[in-house]
Amino acid sequence: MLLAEPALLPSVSAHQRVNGATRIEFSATGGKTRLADLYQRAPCRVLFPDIDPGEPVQAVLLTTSGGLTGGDRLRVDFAAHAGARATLTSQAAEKIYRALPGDEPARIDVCITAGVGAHVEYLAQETILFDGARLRRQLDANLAPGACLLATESLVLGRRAMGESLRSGFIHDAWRIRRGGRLIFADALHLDGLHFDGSLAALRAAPFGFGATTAYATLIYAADDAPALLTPVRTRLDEAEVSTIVHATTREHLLILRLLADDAAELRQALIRAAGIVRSLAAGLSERLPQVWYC
Amino acid sequence: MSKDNSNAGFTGMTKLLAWTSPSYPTGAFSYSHGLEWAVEAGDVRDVATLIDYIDAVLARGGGWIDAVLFARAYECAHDATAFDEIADLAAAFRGSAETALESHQQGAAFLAVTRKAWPHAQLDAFTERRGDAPVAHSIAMALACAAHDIPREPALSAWLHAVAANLVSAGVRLVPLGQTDGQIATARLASRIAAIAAEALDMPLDELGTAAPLLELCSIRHETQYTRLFRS
Repeated sequence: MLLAEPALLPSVSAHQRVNGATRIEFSATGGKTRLADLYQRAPCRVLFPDIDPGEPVQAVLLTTSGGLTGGDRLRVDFAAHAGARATLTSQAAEKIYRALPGDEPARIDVCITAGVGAHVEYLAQETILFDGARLRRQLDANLAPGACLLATESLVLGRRAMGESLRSGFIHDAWRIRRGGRLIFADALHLDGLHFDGSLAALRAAPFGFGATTAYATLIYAADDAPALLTPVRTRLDEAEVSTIVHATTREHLLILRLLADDAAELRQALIRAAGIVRSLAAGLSERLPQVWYC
Repeated sequence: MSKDNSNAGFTGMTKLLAWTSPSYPTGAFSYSHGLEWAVEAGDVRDVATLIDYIDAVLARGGGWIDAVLFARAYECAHDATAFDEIADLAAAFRGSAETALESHQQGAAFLAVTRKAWPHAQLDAFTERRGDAPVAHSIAMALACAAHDIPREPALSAWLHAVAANLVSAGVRLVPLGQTDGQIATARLASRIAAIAAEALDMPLDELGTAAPLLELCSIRHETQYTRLFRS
């Protein structure tokens, strides 16, 4: 029995919320990688474009709702079984719109599993946050020993070219990478304006925060020999003379790149160069990223 | 646990003073947590900017991560499974090669020295369970404090003070600043430490994160800095 008109209900329950999911599994037989399982629930869709010779098979994520807002959820499970080589990327930038007061943050969970000898790339295009957006995102990767993962995600804190800026809102953007069951990388960007002078803008502008930059990316290469790539990657980045801040460091089994740029377009250019350099040095792949990055 | 008869309080106090002293042999003096690059770049050049840097470390950077993990680890120090999970998280939660080195080397040294000078079965059991896996400095300290019944609040404040004082000392050498200026920085940071400790005590692990990317870049840039006095 409906006791109140829908319009009189609190805003939290008055809106239809998105709850999308997808599961993509690849396996390898006789040196060839094939799709082993696929599940998709709106607004998650997956496309499988033709690929250039020598490139890993490719899956492209598409969010048909055109963006997310408070309370929306997406879950992506991506598995490459033993020996499989696969790339997961996204069709376009993900947009996170202003959340209503009292809304839970939009939630994106990505879980990547790579079996023995598997080679996985997760090349997500940028996530753009509009003023007032609230986002909780987590990437979990579970790698078997001997598996390789190249993963990148980026955040745009308002599109500067459009005169937009993320002045209020919430971001919790976390990474957890396990190798052989052991946690080897934990990281999170946590921007909660409520706990800092009441404003996310103040948090960004605080000393040693974001300075004038508005776009941020992390690129991780996890593999047994990943630290050995540090010197060649640094050399190649120096030669590329990207104006954006791109810095590389290592941990055991990890190469870590951080990028900070004044705007989204600059970040994208630098990230395309950096990811291209790492994938070519790590796996002998083309420096050109999947075609969707150039559309 | 915080009920101290005067004897126990005194004993706990001297342990805390010893473990957070610059003379405790963890090699703290050789780490600057990226400050050496910030000075080279001109971002830290006087007392005010040194305070800004240290405040960012404690409230939004690696010091904040350590403070929250210290608080969460302390409260489950008597539950080996839960404690070890936090120890794993702390060992992995480092954004650069040198801040990982800084934490893990000091963690190993702290554990080794404390087990000899203030032995406790809990420290031995943890070392045994841990094997070759790295131990974050904050986790070793949290375990020692919990095992020896040092109350959590003063323990965490002392930990944060030690981190701040070590960076002040590095700043005094690097900028350089006079000894009195260094103490002015320490005094001004004291009220912030109380507030940061209070916030860390209530912070759940799923809210754990940093908010100072330019700070982290200082540490990464330090790796390729030409002339260096410090290991981080």
